[in-house]
Amino acid sequence: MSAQLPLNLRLRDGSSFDNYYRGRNEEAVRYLRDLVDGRATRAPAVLFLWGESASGKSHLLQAACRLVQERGNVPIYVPLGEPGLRPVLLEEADASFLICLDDVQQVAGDPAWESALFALYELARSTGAKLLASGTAPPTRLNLDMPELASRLAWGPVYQLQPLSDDEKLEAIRLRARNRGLDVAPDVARYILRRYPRDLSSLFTLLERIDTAALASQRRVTIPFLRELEGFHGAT
Amino acid sequence: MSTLSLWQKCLGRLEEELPPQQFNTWIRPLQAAQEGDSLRLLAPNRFVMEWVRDRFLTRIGELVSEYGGAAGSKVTVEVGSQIRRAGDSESAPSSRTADTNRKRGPMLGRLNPEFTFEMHVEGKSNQVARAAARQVGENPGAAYNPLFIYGGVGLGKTHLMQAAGNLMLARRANADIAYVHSERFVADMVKALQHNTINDFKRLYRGLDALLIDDIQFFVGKERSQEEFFHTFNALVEAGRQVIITADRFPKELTGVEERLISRFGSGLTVSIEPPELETRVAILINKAKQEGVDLSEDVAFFVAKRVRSNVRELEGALRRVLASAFFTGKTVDIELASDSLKDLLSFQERLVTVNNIQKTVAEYFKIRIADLHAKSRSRQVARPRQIAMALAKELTDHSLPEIGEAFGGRDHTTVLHACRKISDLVSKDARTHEDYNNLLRILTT
Repeated sequence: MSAQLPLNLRLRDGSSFDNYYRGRNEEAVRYLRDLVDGRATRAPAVLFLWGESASGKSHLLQAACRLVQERGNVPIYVPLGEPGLRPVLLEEADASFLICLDDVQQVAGDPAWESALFALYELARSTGAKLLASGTAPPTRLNLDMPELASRLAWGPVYQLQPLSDDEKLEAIRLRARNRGLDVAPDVARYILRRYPRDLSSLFTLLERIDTAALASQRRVTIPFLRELEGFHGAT
Repeated sequence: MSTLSLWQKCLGRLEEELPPQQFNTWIRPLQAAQEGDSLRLLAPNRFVMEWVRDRFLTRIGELVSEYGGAAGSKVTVEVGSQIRRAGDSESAPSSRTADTNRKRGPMLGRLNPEFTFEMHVEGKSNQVARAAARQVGENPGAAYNPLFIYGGVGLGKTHLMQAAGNLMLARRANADIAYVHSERFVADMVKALQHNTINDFKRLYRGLDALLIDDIQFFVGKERSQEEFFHTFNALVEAGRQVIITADRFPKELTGVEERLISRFGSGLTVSIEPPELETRVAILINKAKQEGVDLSEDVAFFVAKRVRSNVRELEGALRRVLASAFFTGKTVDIELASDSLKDLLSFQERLVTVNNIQKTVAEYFKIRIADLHAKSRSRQVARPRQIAMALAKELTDHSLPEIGEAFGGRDHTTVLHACRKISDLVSKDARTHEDYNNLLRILTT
């Protein structure tokens, strides 16, 4: 089945608030929306999200960037774990509306990055840029060498993104599919959940594949369709 | 097709084609402007501009041709912004060049009007520093010059320093007072050297009525900055202008800062700020909540203050989290809500504060063996650390005294009680024990 797919067709749906299943993270998302909307009242305009890998941190940071850009403002997104990035990427970042620092733990112990993040924080405070950061632990547990950076990141609310239960993952798959214009019945979603690595990142990548295959073959997403999909069983 | 819709179409395609990390890092921050037949992309800085030019510009050009036809076939990328920021006088869109940076010159920070003495909560831990800062605010250049405030992170040094500055402003509205973080001083000086505007930089700083310079420990190892600051400092103090300095440590402990500068720091008054004790933390929470329009009850304030003890910033962060929960759920702020909203943070903390962890940390701190804490030895070298470890176990865990005694080599609960009383007494009377205990408390709770 996958052989029918046009090779260059990679239908990625970008991260947005609409395709994020909130589950028990409703409050964190609402705070984030308020921050981006300018409703989070007092300074400092900073929010820290932490959670295990694939808990949706990057999705929310990128969703915030999308919203800011759609409104004609400039967002800066810095995935600190990406190879090849250097602190000069942060130059003039304080002039942007929103600065997103993803995976702060990745630069813990790196004096150049820590110092650049600290300087950026101080600049952002004077320009009024909003700061959204994420990591795998609360700021003070990221093993940062600069306690003054850790305490500043913890100045605003610190939210743990709660991992989704299986039932919630099922709903998350269906929501993501709906946003792609794809109808995935509950039994189909359950079928996927039982036969594939259950972290959301893998599940959404799989969903992209299923969507592309369904589009190419003009078929609805059913369990027989999934059974026919080459490679699908290989992942079990 | 308008510039916007052309660029929006390109964005849509690029988002589909690129991994989200790449799209958001390099493409999302670009702004588009139409220039005749070509599309001009503005990148926030040189790094982004070069990355986009080298890796994505060809593809963007193809998409522009596809969507815009011949009219939109030329695409360029440069550093700039269509959005004007404070201090920029150019009409949008602008290219930020060395010239415009030069015109802007060093930007001196303004005071935060919220950092006043009225908004500051006094406690035993900051009493002396607060009184000194007030004196300086009332008699700038005369009372204590410089005023050097030191203490751990997040304890309110910046607040006190700026409160003094705000008091000076309240008494003389046209006073030229600048608050500058040391990191910023260094960056501005480097920029001034690069752009050959160091004389403007010097004039700007040396013409101030008061300079408040924060976190001076960032000067450590930066000789050129220290040299420049030394002359700035001398010029200001000799002219009777006020200098207030903060650092995370005592001046003499600023290894890597020139001796002549350290001796200048000590020529005025040096005061310290300690971590706030429980009652002060409670007062801070009640005060902060009041500023947010919330009447926080004492029991909730005690609940939060007992659990978040490291510094004021984290205390405020925790309060924001509780108040946000109340706002979003419509519930009253009570202990249940506070406990629920801080659950993730506290459970993370509690996982780390165990009796075993306390013993390990105390043993490492005093360079003794963990086994010494369990042993019968009464030698002072191990008995005092053992008593401190017991007192910390009582303070930081929910274990009963018999359980704590058991964890320290099967000792009786009265031994634990005696240790706790002894340490409490020594913390208030003996400077060394005071420092050791607070250091360990900070290590275990941050």
